[in-house]
Amino acid sequence: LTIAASAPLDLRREFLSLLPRLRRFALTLARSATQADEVVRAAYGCAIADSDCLSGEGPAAARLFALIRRTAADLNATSKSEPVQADDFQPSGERKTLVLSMPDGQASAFLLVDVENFSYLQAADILGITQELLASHVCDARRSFASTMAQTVQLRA
Amino acid sequence: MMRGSNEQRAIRLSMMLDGELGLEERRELESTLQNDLQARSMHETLREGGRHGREVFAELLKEPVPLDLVRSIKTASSPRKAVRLPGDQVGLFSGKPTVSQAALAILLAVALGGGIGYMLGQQPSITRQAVTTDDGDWLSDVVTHYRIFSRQPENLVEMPASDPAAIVEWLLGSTGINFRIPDLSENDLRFEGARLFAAGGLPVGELLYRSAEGEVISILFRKNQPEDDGFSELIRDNIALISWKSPTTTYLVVGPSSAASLDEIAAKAAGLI
Repeated sequence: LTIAASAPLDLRREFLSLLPRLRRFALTLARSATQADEVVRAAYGCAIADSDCLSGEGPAAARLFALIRRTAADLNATSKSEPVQADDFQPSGERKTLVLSMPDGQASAFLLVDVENFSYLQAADILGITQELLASHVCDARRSFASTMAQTVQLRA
Repeated sequence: MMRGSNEQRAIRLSMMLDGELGLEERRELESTLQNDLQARSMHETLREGGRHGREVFAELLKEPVPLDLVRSIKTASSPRKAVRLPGDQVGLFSGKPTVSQAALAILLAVALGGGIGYMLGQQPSITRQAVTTDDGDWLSDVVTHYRIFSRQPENLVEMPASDPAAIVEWLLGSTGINFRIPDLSENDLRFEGARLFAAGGLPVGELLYRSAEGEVISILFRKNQPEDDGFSELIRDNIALISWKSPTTTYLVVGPSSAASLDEIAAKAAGLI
């Protein structure tokens, strides 16, 4: 994937291509599903308005994920007191709530490493944290998911 | 933050699952796993937790991207060529809107916001309803079909493009819909052939095109159904769908969501099919 900052159409193509995955990543950083969509929308607005938004090296996907993270950080700075909410009653609402309610950093670290297959180096760079903290978050996320799975099995038994 | 030795071992086990340990450290940990029940239990917990986490995120990816989000991105960039899809009567497509019409559409989009966007501003005669999201609807069949066959370049079509008359006769007889095969070469799309499949229990005709980059774009059609939910455009996973209707037929253009000109292709096909 490549991005030419001076070519809005290419940026749009890349962004639309990654849109479902960027939106899912935003969900790990936001306080609500609605805010996650606001993050995605704001990130794209920044990218087309200012080429500096996509500054940095590396593949386009990594730069767009990093842009989502920076945008989410800006938006979260003024709304941290808001309660976590899934916003909707879609079948995926329960999973959204699970992801939204995980402690800060865990879901996003897990998503980047285990689902998106970024290396620790790339994922830490996207999240703006050290690799040591990233490794800790990924580990905690795995235990958190295991705990949730165990509780679900118990409830169904 | 200092972590206890158990915590450190859990983190290293987690890193091992990600292939982030050096060879020596990995061998050391594998040896520990053979002799330490607690370590094995932790390793299994992390592995199962990872599997569950991947399932959770895989399900989240299946959720359709909200239409207003897609549109806000598609219309947020520098001004694009406006396109116009037909309303209830195919053939009303009459080319590009004027500058004043485009400006009016933008004003409407800004004023009304949310689900009323750019496309609606261009075609007020089209009736739109909520985007269908049920997994069991015919659009899910369409998406699944497209996903499967667009990834089989060697077996893309059932009937090749070499005999267009036979394709028309075949699909007309199967779907009851009369049509022409649109020439989309001006959009850099080469006609590859056709398929017939079932979606929502009804036969669907499919005309397949391929771009120079290898992208597969499909035009599909089936008889209108009274219970059809109207929609104009949606994205599922990485696949985009744009629809329009005639009094008797529902048409779809399906392609990768990255195909930025899909709406222009739909407008062109609507005037030709």
